[in-house]
Amino acid sequence: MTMRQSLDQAIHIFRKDVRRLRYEIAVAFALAGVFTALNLHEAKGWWLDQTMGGLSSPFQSLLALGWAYLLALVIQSEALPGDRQFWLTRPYSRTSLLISKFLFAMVFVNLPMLISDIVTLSANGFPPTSHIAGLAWKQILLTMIIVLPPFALASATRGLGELILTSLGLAIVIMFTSSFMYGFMYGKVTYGWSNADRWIEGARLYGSIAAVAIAVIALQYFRRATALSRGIAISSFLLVAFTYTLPASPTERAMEPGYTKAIEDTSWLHVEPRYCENCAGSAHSTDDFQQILMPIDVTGIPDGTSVEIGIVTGYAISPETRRVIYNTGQSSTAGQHRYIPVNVAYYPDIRNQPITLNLNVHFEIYKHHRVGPVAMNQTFFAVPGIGYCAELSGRLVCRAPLRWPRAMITVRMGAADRNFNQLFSASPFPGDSPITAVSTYASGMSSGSISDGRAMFLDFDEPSATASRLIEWKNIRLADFEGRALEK
Amino acid sequence: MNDVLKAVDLSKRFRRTEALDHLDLSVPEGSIYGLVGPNGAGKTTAIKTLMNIFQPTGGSAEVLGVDSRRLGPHEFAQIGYVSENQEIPEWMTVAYLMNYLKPFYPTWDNAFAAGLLRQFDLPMDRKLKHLSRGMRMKAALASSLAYRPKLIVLDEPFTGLDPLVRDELIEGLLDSAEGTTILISSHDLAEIESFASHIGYLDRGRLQFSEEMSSLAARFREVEITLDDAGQLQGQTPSNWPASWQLPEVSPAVVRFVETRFDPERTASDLRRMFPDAQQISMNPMPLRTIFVTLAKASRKVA
Repeated sequence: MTMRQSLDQAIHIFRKDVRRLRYEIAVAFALAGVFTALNLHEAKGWWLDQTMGGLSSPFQSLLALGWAYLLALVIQSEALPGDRQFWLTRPYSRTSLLISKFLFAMVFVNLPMLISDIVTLSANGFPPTSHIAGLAWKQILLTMIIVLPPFALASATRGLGELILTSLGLAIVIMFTSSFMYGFMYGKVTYGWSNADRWIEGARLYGSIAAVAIAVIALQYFRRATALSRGIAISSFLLVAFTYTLPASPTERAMEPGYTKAIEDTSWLHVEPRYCENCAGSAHSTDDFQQILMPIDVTGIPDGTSVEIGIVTGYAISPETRRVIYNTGQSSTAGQHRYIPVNVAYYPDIRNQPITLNLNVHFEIYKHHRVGPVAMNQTFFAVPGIGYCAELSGRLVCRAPLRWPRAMITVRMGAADRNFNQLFSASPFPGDSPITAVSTYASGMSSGSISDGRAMFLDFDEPSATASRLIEWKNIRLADFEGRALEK
Repeated sequence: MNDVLKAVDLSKRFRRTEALDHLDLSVPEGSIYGLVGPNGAGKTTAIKTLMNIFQPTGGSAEVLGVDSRRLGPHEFAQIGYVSENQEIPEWMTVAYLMNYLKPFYPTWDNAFAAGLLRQFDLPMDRKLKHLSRGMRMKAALASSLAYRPKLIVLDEPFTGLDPLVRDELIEGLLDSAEGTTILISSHDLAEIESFASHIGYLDRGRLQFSEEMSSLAARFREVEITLDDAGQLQGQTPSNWPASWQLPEVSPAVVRFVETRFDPERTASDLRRMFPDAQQISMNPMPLRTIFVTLAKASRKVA
């Protein structure tokens, strides 16, 4: 069969599917239309409308379910498993069949989403032609997350009932295995997850699911090997659940160069415990277990750079008892001080002993720059690096195209340098909505007090690299850090 | 004569069940081959394996000169397949089904298709799900004949149909498929004995025999011997009882059995040798239905 004949047959099958599912297609289009309307409405600021606000997110789940249902119907109209389907003994080309089903997905899932995104972007002042790469990325993600999994599941099952049961079973397997593995691996590996590379978790999960889905689809359409593809799917999902718990690798970080690039040399950075009278305190304690929030000094940070400390893992060794106590936790900031948690068991035995703390500290390094001044206005104005912002009902509302900038953004106003909420998006991928609308307000300020005629500055802290460092602190006496109130 | 369909040592196993057990089968070109056997004999498995719906676990088969595992669009464009348990797109109307299938077949004959629809009296605008079982089979058959296939494979096409519809289907099939090779399976010989040219008997996944209908009828005889000496056999068959004499019934005065390799001279000679004191010997031709009942009983007895 020539390529031309294959395409002709694919279009012929596609037209048959469109005719058969015309009512379902109409409903899916209607759902996509409502979703677009909700997006347009929410881009104004969903918090402004208590009735309709926030509906797009649950509605998106409904739309995704609707699309999955539509895809299941179209794929199972020429079901692959089984031995009674009429098409098995008709001159169907498997390639044509696969093309026809993908064509259906593109026309009735990808295209409506693309149109919805373009409409929403345009209505919010973002020319779609300036965001082709972002729109294409979003289409790829849509295919990976919304199209391929139901496509694969439908191709390996015989009916909707079997499909739903299989989906639930796989979800339970993934959740259970992932939860089990996380508990099993906890403390045994250095996780090093930081805010900057949290996106890798999701990308790894969705990437793996898409890869498994492609393998299942290929096996089903070209070999009709249902038992084999189901076996591969289940074992792959178990593997996915396992790998989901593993730390981010340099290769994965390299997928977003300059953002989560790992650097080796951090000798310029100094981290020391800080003894002070009023800045440390114990957080939790049981008879044997104590969490000490240990204040630290981080110095040596160059100008134009800021450093955050992410998760700290490690252990404490007591020279007398030789007990090794695992220690894991997220660093925190209170007031002007940073703290790392030190979790120790057998605390009463070692609280006054000079212990050695071996820590693996994960750093996130940010480049800092300031934008401004920009004059506040009641209407939306362009803000470099974000999109458009306006003061609405006492809040600063900003709209960004496709995803929020990958930076922590601090909004400051006037000479008082008032600190507004920090807005941050870790993922390099586009978000669910074509427009990310974010509202921020001044801490302790009443509504309606932002626009007081002064200029606004935006501080951007963009993640530029990550680093891990093994630190050894000797002769630490934990009793020196306990029992003091945190600085207010 | 070329074999349109040929299986050599073909096996198909479902977990622990040997559904096809080293099947050897040849369907000559132009023949109407009836594959008969009781329910569960493996007829449908054999046909689905030949049609590349199932993958064989052993042996091989060729359909239209192509390995059955490689049957593709080119071959299926020359094969018409109708099965009693086939799932058809029930949302389609008869007209839509025919129009939908037409582009798949380069040899589709519009006039012939229209004639088939008329002959089967099919309502064009009615959805398949609203048709009776018989009408659905007619629609399936019409859609499988309209492109004049070289091979027609029918798997239990008449099951559950009333005699009138069955006759209409057979008539339509024979009128429209003259010269075409047909493989038809059935658990009921009476359904196909009137038109099959060849017959194969499948039981427990094994082909018990395969031959032309005319030779089959010729080689079976029901034999009855009336003995002079009523106590001669004492209810037992003699130790040198020929293997081709199946299902013996021995009473003090009468012996009955089925000769499965009837040859006028040899059989008469064997009878004289085994029963020199026979008072009367009768050898009667058997209807095909009785032949198959005999074969089924004999094979069960052996198993």
